Amino acid sequence: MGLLGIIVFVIVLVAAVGLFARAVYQRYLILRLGKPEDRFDQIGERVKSVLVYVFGQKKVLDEAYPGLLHVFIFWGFLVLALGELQFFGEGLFPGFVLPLLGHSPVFFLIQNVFAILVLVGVLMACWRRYVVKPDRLDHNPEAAIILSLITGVVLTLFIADGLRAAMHPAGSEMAPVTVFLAGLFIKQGWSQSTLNTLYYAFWWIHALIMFGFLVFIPYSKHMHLIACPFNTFFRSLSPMGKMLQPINFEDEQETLGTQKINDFTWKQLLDLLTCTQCGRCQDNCPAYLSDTPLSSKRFINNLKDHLLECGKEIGSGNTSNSSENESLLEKSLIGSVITEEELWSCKTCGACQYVCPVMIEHVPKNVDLRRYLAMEEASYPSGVDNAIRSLEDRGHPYKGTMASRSSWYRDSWVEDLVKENNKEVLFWVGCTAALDDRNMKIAQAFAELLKRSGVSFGILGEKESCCGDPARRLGNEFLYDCIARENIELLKNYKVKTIVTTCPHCYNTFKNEYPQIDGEFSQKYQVYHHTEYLAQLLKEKKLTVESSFTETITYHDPCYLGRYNEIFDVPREVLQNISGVKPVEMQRTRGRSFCCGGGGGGAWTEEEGVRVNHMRAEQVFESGADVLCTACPFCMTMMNDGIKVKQAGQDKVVKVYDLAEILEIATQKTDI
Amino acid sequence: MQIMVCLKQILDPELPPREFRLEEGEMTPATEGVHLVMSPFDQNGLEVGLQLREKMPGTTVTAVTVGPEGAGDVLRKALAVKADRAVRVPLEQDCKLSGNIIAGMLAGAARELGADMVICGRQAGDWDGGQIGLILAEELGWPVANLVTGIEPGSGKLVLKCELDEGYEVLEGNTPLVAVVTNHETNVPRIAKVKDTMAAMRKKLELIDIDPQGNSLELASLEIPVKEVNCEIVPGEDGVEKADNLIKRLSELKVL
Repeated sequence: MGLLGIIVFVIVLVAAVGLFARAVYQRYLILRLGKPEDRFDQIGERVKSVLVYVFGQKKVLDEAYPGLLHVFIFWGFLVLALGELQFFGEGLFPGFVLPLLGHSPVFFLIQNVFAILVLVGVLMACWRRYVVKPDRLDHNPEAAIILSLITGVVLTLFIADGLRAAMHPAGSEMAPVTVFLAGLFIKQGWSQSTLNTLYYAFWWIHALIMFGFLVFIPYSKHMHLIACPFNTFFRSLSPMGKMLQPINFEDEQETLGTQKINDFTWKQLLDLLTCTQCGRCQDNCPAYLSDTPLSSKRFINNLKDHLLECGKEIGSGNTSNSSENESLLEKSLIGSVITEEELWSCKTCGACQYVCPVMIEHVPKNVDLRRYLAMEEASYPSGVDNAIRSLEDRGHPYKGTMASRSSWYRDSWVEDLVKENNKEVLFWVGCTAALDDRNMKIAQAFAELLKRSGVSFGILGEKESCCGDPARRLGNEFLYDCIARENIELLKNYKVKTIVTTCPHCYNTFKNEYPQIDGEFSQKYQVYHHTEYLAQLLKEKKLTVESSFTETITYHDPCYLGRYNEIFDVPREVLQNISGVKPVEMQRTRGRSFCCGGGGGGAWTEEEGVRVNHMRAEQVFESGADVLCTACPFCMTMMNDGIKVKQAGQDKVVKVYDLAEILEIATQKTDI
Repeated sequence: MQIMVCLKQILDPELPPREFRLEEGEMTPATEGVHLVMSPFDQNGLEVGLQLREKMPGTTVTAVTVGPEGAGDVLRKALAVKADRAVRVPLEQDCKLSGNIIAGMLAGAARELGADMVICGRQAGDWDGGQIGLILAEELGWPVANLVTGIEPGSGKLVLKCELDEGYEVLEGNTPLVAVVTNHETNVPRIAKVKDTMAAMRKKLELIDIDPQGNSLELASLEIPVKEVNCEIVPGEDGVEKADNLIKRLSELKVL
């Protein structure tokens, strides 16, 4: 290429890189709007995350079809990017050979194969986007532009490479597409000069498409190409149960919770920039699927649009509109970017972030916004306000209950345990198991199992209070903080070393959240969910299965046990220990389990239209199970109701049991 | 306008009946392990007062309770929803005093505070006496509106909406007056904002000493009736099985 060509190329390159860098810098400035957050610990683990989730595409591949097409395009582009160095070098300086790879026939072959894979990926994407048209994908020109650019990059690369090979086939002998195209061009009988002109024509088209793509990236959803590796690097390394950050109420707080976009942390803003609108979150969101106003995808993208609007002026350095920009930054998100109804529709089940391939953390943003509503505005949806009042007044959220915390054990052997407060094992019953008639049976069954195993344990009886989970999920962090501190102090009066509970919400609170308030809590207390504790008792042969339980059982993963604490296998193993049990899985299971609708305050909100528990009940019937096994009192209540409603017209009667109840039946001595 | 709202701390009325106990050897309810709350109708009264303040600039709301130091909790709750002042009239073991004496003490507080209007709940959620508002109005010599659901500022007068068995009556008048409030969807108590709750914890509660005066009816006896209930739950997985078991059981008992 002549000097003029090189100069033009350099100008275009500098312009493209400059525009790209400017746009990325604007995004960086946008992130600086956020509050500080420390995500720089465990660097080794973070690098590993990038390797596994970005280069390994682990989460992307959770879904076969879209996963595979993404892998084709992603890895194809990585390989093609390497080849671009040779491609551009050779065009600019004829005879240029990239060391090692330059004219390597194997590399040409690999490049050819990966380029084909990119095209296959693009075709798969087009099929899905324009023929299958899944609900979760938006239909806008952006995707079409991107797919066209990708196709353009690959086709021009093929043609230019074929033309080059037609002139001098150095290294291309093993590359089938290049060899085929070179043969085709040779057959045309074009002169070397024509071939050369055509080569440079396609070389330039290719270069312009590449640079156009580069500039387009930060302005489109393909920003995820840049943001995703960072978002993955800075992802939360804790279990999901630790995702909510506490508030220090001793510090003077300007605003409690998140009101404006810059009340979020920089990492929360990076989440927004990273979203690629793949819609996996929405596909797994019980609120969206039950026709509430909330879509987890729209939630993130509405915030993202608002953030980019706010960022427009900041990044451009144009301060003439700064007052308008300031007013955008001062704008309350609730009511303008997201409605109260959307916020309260969330069950905090965490399915959205569990499936998100780019590690977006949806739930804490929702709870942060709820915190503003709850604490600054004292605004709750109908039903929830009564739960909050009841928590404040009587330490449990069940206004109107005719039970007390002693109802489940009154006049039984358990009653004596309250008086003996010298035990090291505490059975923390939780509000629902203590106050709800159906759930009392779970408390009774578990207490019976502990007795049968010879475990010396105590209960707090009337001294027990709510763990604070409902208040926290409903955004009243202050109430949660007060309850948690009272409980931490209460426990200090006893010799307790082990806390075991049948409620995954209490479990999560003790395991992951109280240590945020009392740094020594984890050292002082071993916290178990009853499924873990029962598995251990079985393993130690303190509990032995005496009779069979001949039923087809499907296990429903409670969100706060499964997704929040990664306890998926333990309950299933307990069930497998029981002879006769025929396990079946529902279609949505384990990490993709469908919420019962009771989490995040859902147990107290009035659902309109399709109910989440009814949907889950239908999934239970679809599984063909006779018994639904749960391990959470909220799930028990919600699923019991759901099954009762959906039972009509079904061939079989489905019974709902807690794991403890099933084990209690199976470990009864049969020789009575 | 100075509004005085009377608040009473009571045993949680949601306490299940079988959990209700008396202090051993005494005629007072046991409070250990039992939650104490603001009487529900008083909460409605407070809400009516706060709503009226919002509509009439310059109005102040003073929360007043008669009771021991612990009763200050209800005053803190009132401050948390932004009552302007909170006053406690000290009294130990108020449950042994007749309503007329408590009403007299509240009337004394109203005079001391220079109140133009006194709002009470229609009856306390513990003993359901329902005397205070009416006797208090008599003590002060003020008119009283009963079963008020809301008060609105009208043209030069106050408009009080009162509940009847079927429908409403609307009363008009000027202060001073006593409004005895009942619950209604328009006076559902508000929830306190957290910063206001935190501020309320730091605020000072005022004390006004007023001697209890007048004849009191004495509590002669207080006991929990013992009910004997023989209840048997008929087992069964579904309605059909339960019905079968019920018939079987009734036959065994020779009822059928």
